[in-house]
Amino acid sequence: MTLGLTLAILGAALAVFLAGIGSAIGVGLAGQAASGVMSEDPSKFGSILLLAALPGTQGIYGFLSGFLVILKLGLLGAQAAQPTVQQGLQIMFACFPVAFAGLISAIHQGKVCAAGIYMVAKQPKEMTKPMVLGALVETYAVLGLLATVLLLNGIKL
Amino acid sequence: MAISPVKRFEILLPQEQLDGFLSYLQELGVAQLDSLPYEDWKLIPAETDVSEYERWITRLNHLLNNLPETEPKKGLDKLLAQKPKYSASLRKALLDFNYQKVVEDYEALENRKHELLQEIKQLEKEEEFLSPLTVFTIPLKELTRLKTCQVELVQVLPADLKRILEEARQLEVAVEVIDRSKNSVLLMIIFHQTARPEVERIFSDLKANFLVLNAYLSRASAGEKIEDILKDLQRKKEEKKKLVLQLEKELASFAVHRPALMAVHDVLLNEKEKMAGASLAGLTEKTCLLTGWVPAAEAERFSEKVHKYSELVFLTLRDPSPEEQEQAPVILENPEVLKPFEIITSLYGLPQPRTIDPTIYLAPFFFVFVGLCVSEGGYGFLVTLLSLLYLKLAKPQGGTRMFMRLMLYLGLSNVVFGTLVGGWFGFPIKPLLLIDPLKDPIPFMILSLILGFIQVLLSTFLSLVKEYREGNKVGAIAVKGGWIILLPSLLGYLALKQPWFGYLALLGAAGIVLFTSNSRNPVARVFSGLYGLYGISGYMADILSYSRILALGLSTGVIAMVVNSIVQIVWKIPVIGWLIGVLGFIGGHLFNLAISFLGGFVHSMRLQFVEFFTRFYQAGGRPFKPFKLENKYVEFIR
Repeated sequence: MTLGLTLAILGAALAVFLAGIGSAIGVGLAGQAASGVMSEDPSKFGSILLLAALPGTQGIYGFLSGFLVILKLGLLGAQAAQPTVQQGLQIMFACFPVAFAGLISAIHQGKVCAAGIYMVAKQPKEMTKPMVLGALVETYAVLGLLATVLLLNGIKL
Repeated sequence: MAISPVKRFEILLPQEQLDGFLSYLQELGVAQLDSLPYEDWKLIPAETDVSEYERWITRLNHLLNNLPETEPKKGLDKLLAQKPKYSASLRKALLDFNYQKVVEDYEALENRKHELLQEIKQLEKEEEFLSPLTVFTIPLKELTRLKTCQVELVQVLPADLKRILEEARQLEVAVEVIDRSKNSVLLMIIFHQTARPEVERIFSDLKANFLVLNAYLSRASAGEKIEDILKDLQRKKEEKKKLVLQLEKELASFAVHRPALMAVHDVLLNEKEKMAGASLAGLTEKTCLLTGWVPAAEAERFSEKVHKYSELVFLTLRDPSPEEQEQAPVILENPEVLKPFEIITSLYGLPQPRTIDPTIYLAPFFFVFVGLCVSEGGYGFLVTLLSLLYLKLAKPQGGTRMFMRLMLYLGLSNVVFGTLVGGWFGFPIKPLLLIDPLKDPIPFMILSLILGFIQVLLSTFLSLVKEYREGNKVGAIAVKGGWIILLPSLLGYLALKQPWFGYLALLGAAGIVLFTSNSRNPVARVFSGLYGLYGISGYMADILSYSRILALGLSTGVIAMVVNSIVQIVWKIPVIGWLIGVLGFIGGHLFNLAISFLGGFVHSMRLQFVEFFTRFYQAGGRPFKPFKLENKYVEFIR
């Protein structure tokens, strides 16, 4: 295995685990709030679940970026590509936007959603408004994903 | 299309007819009641008391929540269940059912059950207290026969035992170890009653627990041991438990009253609502006045029905004055096809009276955006099918019905756009594919931005209309019109380098620079105009925000592909590979369906709220809430 390939794999790993950590923390924050609210009123589970799940998307974006790298490198097939060190670094850097934007935005989205869950506890009919507020934070993860996809698409092996 | 006009009405009627008339209005369900300027018109606000109704409603709710269903429905049946139906005009006859007695009987039984449970808990506590003492086999009466000595049972920590024994020996106190466990030692100590202070001193700074048996000592019969008391407790407990079970059976038998109670609950709920409506009336000595709103389209029928009620009811119907207009409730009026998209408008907040209803403008964009964000024909097909089935079988009403119709549209949108730019369950249909975003995402990105560009231009045009209507005619045309010319021509100039695009762009920019400010000072005017031109960064940001459509569309496609590749890999596992594969395929795609629809819905909605609405939309209208029969457990039909 060449250094180039190793660097590219490092990039894929960073995208998956950094965004994954962010989502885990974000969903964790929202989940705690959700349990707190449900201890008063378990019937709110349905409406709260969506809010608690919202910060989970960053982990998925990270995962799918990692998967795009795996596809690009042909790691699932018999013959893996042999990128040069330059190309490996390019792939790694291309993974940074989704990794870091995902990590930070998921945590903050988790906080927004947790606050939103408390809001739903008091205003059960206003479920979508906190969701839109959560989507405001997620925008930057979406843009990170977009940048990563476009960059990966642009790298020629 | 628009906000439909409403008419204001005033109704004057004899006080004794108010109650009956309000019931009649509830059944009609077309008018909204409003409060009156009581003091200006020298009216006495009607006082009503709903607390009695509220109490009964709470008690009935408690019963209905606890009673089991008469015929428990499961799964699909429960999902598709419809409410029982009753005639609206005959609803008050339902109150003849002696619900008060049923509720009181139920509550009495329930209280008895709670008491019993409390008693059982008490018995359990005693048991817990006595059970370590079973090793103490002397009959309890024996302890009371001592004349000059006292007996105490003490629980101490094993570590303190040695010290206690030592000190006890010096004081001539008899100490007997009755029981020893890992965490505690049970001691019986016997001492002369004059030695009590010294004995207490031994234990004063230790963690010791004196067990007080006095209650049992005085009650104990000759020869009774602790073991016997425990057996007695056990027996009492069993008896009470049996009683509880019996009570529970009796309580459950109340389920036969469930349908009647459901109907009574809803009748009382509506009586309460009626009282709340009556509290809006203004009274004179003999008459009372009601005011409110009806949709203009219903006005004629309303007047006809009101006059039919009684000859003593006087009705005036008129167009609201401009001040009243500001307070008027808002009804959105759109063609039947577009009605489901009113959900999106209402989620943000209804428009103010006499402003623009954005539903018709956002509907096509929302439809396309969700289709592109999810871009999965297979998921679209599933959602279409499920929502169609639910609409056909469960026949939902009101908000649920609208939402299911919206889901139906979004499903269809995905069938179309999933086929054109995505795939079916992760498999692209190559001959029908216009853009393959996985191979080359750039055309998809350009498509997203073009859609964004069109919507941003539309929102600018709507803000032109809004400002024009508000009276700033020149400014609206010059500035907003300027942007509408500037943005496309600038784009054309950058793309095609044709000089006349440049001139057009300059024309638009001139409009913006010269008319942004109303100042008479030409320098201030031009400078604030140049600052207005800086607004182009806002337009840029808004349009670029639409690139999220590409990202979300891609993510659905890639995850669907991931699911399929994993299925391919596990398929090779011998014997059970196919099973894991099938389960993984179903589970994986359902998961992807859920998250991509959630993401697609929320982000498309955000594009409407943040990028589209901000330029022209004024929310803050009061929704029209007709005074009508409410249903919780049953449905009242005409």
